[in-house]
Formats: sequence, structure tokens, C-alpha cells
Amino acid sequence: MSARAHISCTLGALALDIDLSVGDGEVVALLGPNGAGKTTVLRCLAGLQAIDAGVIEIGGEVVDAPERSLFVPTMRRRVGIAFQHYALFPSLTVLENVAFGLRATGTPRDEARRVASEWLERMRLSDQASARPTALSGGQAQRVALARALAPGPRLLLLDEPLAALDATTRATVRRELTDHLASYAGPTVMVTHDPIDAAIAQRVVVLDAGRVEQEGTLDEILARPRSRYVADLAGANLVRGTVTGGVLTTADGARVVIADAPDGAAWALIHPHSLTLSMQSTSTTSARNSWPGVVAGMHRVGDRVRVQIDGHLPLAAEVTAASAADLGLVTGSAVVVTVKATDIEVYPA
Amino acid sequence: MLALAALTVVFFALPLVGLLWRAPWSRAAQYLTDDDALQALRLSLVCSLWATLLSVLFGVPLAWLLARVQFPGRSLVRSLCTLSMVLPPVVGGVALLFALGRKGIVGQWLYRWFDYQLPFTTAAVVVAQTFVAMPFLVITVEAALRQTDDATDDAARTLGAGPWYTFRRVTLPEIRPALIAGAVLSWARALGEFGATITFAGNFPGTTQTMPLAVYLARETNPEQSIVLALLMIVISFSVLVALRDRWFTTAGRQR
Repeated sequence: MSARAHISCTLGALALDIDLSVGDGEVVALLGPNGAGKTTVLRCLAGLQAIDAGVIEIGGEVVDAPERSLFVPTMRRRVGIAFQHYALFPSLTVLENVAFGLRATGTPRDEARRVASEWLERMRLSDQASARPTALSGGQAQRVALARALAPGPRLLLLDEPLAALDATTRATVRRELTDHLASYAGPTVMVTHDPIDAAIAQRVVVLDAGRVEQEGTLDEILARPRSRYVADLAGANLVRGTVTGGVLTTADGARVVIADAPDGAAWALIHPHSLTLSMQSTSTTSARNSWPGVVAGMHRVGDRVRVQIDGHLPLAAEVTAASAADLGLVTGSAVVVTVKATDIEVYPA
Repeated sequence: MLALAALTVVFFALPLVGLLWRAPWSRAAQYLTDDDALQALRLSLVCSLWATLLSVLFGVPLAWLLARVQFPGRSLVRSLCTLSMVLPPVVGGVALLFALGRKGIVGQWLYRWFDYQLPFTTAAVVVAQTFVAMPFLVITVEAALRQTDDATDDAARTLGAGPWYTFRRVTLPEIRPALIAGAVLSWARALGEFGATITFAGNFPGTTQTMPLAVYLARETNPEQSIVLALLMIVISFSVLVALRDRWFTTAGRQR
């Protein structure tokens, strides 16, 4: 089956232009900040939004190709969506919700109900068959939404923030169940999320920002070598962009970072917060090649460590133990010196 | 505050008390079973139910259009279609005459081609009542449609449902309380319709003389009967209000 798309579409301030391809049985996560165009991609794939240019192919059939004036409407695309807030039909029972797609496409009532019952059994929801959606918990509603999308046998499955509406406790359980259900679905799946933990369900992650693909790879690859502030923030790391000349990376603001050897040219420098050392005054005797003055702009505790936000020529986040923060007497407004060894900075071409 | 509120209650209750006070209770049964009265009552019920049916049939698609379809001049269309709510009914009746009367913009062709004239027939009563009653249904149903989740429509489409199937299985059940409330409002408005009816359909016993017209006419010829007929209308309207009291304002829009 698989799905391939080149989507180009302008909607208000969003100019979406991406290439996306998902194989059978593969789960691809679209990760990105709000307004990056993630949900719009899903709407284009489902035919709820027509594209301006490009082509969408689902299961070998071209379903949207503006250049050829070809557009297959949503109702004939056989694309299943689990919506962010589930969008279950409030006046139908859980069983009727799941049977809806089959009934709508002409499956006889008894057959549709039998198939829907099987889905409810798989989702461990048999006892809720005659309940109304409003009586369900968030996790149950999510499973009904998934069963409803899968029951008619879609050629492509779309999940819009499948776990965002759940509380932290149910979230972990539902995430595990979702992983299992997706593993037994043979078609391609595209999942939208802004949470890297949820993105871990996917085999491949596509990072979107402002309508464009910024980075693509496995979650580990992406988090190990971020190419955007957004991903760096998700990874909790400092990311600096600049130009390398003779072992020194210079940022657009003119800050200089001494690095271990790296080829000249545009590059990213990744600095982990725990590799930064803080002291109250300039230490002359250190092997660290980088030493920058700064002011503590904010502090917050993460477990037994303290994350310190430092303002200066090069704004950075450092992580120190709670004990050393107390020893140094760090408070907001403290003048500090940040040092880091050149070898602790990871540099890769931009 | 409390005194003013109490005064307002008196203001609404007093006319009813006045009617009850002057009602000729001993002859009430006789007036009610009077042929003319029965005829007017039957005509009122038949016409108002037809008007309600037409309001639902044509009002729901209009409400859907206004709530769901983006098009230029939508608010203008909405104002136009709900104008008869605020228009003096007599003006509405006159306007209907100019549209559908024998010399009206459409009526003249109906007369010329089919030798048919609408005014002063029972059908004209239904048309006049529908004209003034339908906006109540449109407004109520439109509000309910606006409150339904667009995502459920999208969900139905992705599941292979066509627009009609989606409307029947998803939208209609969701707006049912509002539809019932709107239909009852329309029916009450049609039942009480006077101005547009007398202007457009006239006042012919048995053909176009509905209850309100009969009450008004009897006031001059037989005041006692007019009181009894008026009380009957109050009983009917009041029972509808009571029957609806739970779903009236609180659930007109949405059930849950």
C-alpha cells in the first residue's frame, strides 16, 4: 500500500512544502512546534484540505494532483483518522461508532456490528459496547477512536496528537497499547505529535518547522544531532549555529567558541548543559579552552540537579548539582564565568 | 428589585385573571362546541401543523446553509430570511400579496398559466403562517448546528460517509433537541398568527378563519364566546410551555 506525498499548500501565514513517504507497516511521526503545519499535512493526506501543488499517492492510487485536476474526495480515500479530541459521534453508542465506517460504505448491519464487536474485543472495550462516548474515560475514548478508524480497513492511518489529551498516568499505558495496535496494522501510519516521548512510537521522525522538513531520521539520531532550536530544546541541549574557521566557531552575534578539530564551514555546535562548569570568578588555571562571563537569568530544579539559565554574549543553559549550586551561592543575578572544554563540544556540518 | 419583579409577574398574570374573571363558565361548553368555533379550531390546528412541517422541511436546510457554508453575503441572507420575525405581520401579509397575489410578481404568472390564485385560500393561511414562523426554527437550529463539532463531520467523511448519510446519522441526532424546540416555537407562532393571515388570506369561516381571527371577530359579535375561545388558546399555548419547560432555554442548543 504505502503512501507518498509532495504537499505544497498555503494557508494563511503557513506555507507548507514537504515531501513525505511512508512504507507499509511503518510509523512516521511528524514532530514540530505549534503552527509548524503538522495537522495540515494530515488534513491534506485525508483530503480535508486540497493541496495547491504537488501530488499525493495512497496505496498506489493518486488521490490529489492539482496539475492534473485530480482530486479524490475524503469519503472515497479510505484514510482512517484518529482525531486529537477523538471526534466520536456523541449520539451513537460505542459499537455504532466503530461500525459507522462499514455501515456508511454499504456493509450490511449485522456484518458491520460483528466486525465492530471484534474490534472492541481487541481493544478490550466489549463491556462498553452500548455506552455513549461521553461516558468513556480519555483512554477508552482514544481506543474507540482508533478502532473506528481501523475497522473499515483504511489504506493509510493518521493519528493527530493521539496522546495529547490524556493525563500523565493513563498516557504511559495508552502509549504502550497504541504501540501494539500500530504494530498489527499492515498499512502506513502518520502520527502528529509535539512530544518526543510519543514520537518514540514511530520508526522514523520528521521534524517540521514553519511548513518545511527540518530534519529526518530515527528519534535517537535526531536528538543526538539536533538541527533546530526546537529539537535542541526537546533534547535539553544548547545548540549554537555558526561558521568554523581554523578550529573556532563564530556565531552570527560574534561569539567565539573554540572547538576540537572540525572542517571549516557552516556548522552546528551542541553543548550539553552538564559539560558546562560554573565559577564565581575567572579561573586562570584551567585546561578548558572556552571561558565566558555571564549573569544567571533563572534557575529551576530538575530532580537533584539545578538547571541554570545564563545570559551573556552566548546564552547557555548549564546543569549543576544542587549541592554545588548551594556551595557557589548561585542566585538569579549572580555574575558567573562559564567554562567548557573544546572536546566536550560536538560539532557537525549545518 | 423584588417589588419590580413582582409587578412584572402581575403585569403578565393580570390579563389572564381578567379573562378568567369574565369567562361565562356555565355556557363555556356550548360556545366551544359551536360549529364555527370547532371549524376555526380545526383550521387553526391543521394550518399550523402544515406550517410547522414546511418550516422544518425548508428551515433545516436553510439553517444548515447559514451555519456550515461560507459564502459572501451570508449575514445578509440570514437577515433577509429572519426579517419576518421582527416585521409587523400585517406588513408581511401585504408583502406576500405583492409577491404571490393575483397581480404579484410571481402570482400573476400562476394566475395566467395555471388559472390559480393563492390569496384567500386555506393554502394562503399556511403560507402566511410559514412566512412568520419559520425564522424561529431557522435560528434555533442554526445555533445548534454551530455548536456541533466540525471534527465529527470530518470524521464521518474519512469513514466514507456521504453528506446525506452524515447528516442523518450524525448531525440530526445531535441537533434533535434544538429541532424539537424550534419546531414547537414555530408551531406556537403559527397558531397565534393573525396579521399576515388576515391580510393575505382574509377571514372566511371554514377556509381561512383561524382561531385568532375568530376570537377577534367574536369580540364584536359575541364577546362571551371570544373570551372562551381566547381561554382555549391560552390553555393550548400554556400546555406547550409547560411540556417544554425543561428543555426550553437550557437545552434548546445542546443536550449534554
